Amino acid sequence: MNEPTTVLPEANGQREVQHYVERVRAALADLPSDVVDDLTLGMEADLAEMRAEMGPGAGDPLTARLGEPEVYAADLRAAAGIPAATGSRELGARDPLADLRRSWDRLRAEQGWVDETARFLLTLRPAWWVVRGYAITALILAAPFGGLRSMVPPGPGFWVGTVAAVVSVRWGLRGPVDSTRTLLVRIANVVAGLVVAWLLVAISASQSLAGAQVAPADAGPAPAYSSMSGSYDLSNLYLYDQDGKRLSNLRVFDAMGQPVDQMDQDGVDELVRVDTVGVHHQNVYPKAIRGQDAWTPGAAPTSSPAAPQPAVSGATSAASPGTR
Amino acid sequence: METTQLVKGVLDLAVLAVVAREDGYGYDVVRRLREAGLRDVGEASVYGTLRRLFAAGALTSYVVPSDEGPHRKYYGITKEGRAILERQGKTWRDFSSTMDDLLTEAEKVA
Repeated sequence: MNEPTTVLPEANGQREVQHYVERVRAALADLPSDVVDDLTLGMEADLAEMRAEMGPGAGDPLTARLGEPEVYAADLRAAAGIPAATGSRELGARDPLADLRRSWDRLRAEQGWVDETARFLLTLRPAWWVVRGYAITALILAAPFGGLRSMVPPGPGFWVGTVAAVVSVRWGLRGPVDSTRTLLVRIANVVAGLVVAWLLVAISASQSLAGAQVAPADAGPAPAYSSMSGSYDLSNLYLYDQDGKRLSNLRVFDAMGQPVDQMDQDGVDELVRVDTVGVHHQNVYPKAIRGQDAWTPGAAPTSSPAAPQPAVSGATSAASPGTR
Repeated sequence: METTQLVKGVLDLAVLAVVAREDGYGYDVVRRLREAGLRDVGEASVYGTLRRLFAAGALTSYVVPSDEGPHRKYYGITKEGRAILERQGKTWRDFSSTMDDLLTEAEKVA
């Protein structure tokens, strides 16, 4: 076996080669994709070697040497004994994917900005390879390791995801190896795409529909409350004095002086009027639930403008009243 | 006479002969054909021929990954390929010697 000459073409030659191969593939796009892969696998390496032998040249030396990619593709097809593009279409072996690819190529040829955008997006491929690694890991590991939280460093998912991302990038850099690998990569891309889409939907849903998960009257999950002193889950607060007596209509502030008033939750009434001057405050606990007193369900809320002015946190003085 | 036309007819045989000597990737096969004297051989025709011979079972192919860049696709000859080479080689030799004789006769007359 001949030792292949090591080819490290300068970036320009490499781009020229890739462009040429792309156009040849486009001209073969009516064929099933595994045939196209089969016909063009190794082509990039070979052309790179040829291009490197030719040395620097003005214009498009590859086309000068090999002819237009479309002609090259036609020769390749003829020599390989594969019917020409029109022939396979007449047979009714219409490949909708190939049709789509052809229309896409036409669009790129006609609209400069489409081509430019497509090229720009291609340069972002390595970023996608990284995302793909993490996304697949998230899908596989999220359940056994306690949800997506495991993906946040230093969770196990993060480290496995990092390894997966490295593998994914390596696969991306290598390009198509054989049809099995190509198929695997395609499946991985689709699955990763679905995971990312699902995550995006889930994130936007958790922001806009946080209240969809109704907290039970006494406890239960709630959207994360986050303040300058950290974040934690909070649906309502039930406060007692030192004798264990239930307290109502207390305005709560955290140590940073921020009113604790996160909630937009179904069932938990937002506004409770406690102020003597009639200002609405949101950080008043316990909040009434579905119009009923949180301590004694069934009773009307005890809050009233005449309620005593509470002082819970030592930082109340630093707090500005939470008004709406 | 156009060499290109002649080459077309025997490209299968020429490619089989080159690969039979040593496995090679597409461009390597092109280069060896050219070094052997088939100057007019076209890249696309050689690649297409390799693919067709592979599809026919005369060649086997394997991918050699490369750390520096894209992969290379190597072709090697199969048992079937060797049989074809032998059979077609004989046909070519017979044909070629027939042509030789014809031309020699013609030269004698001239």
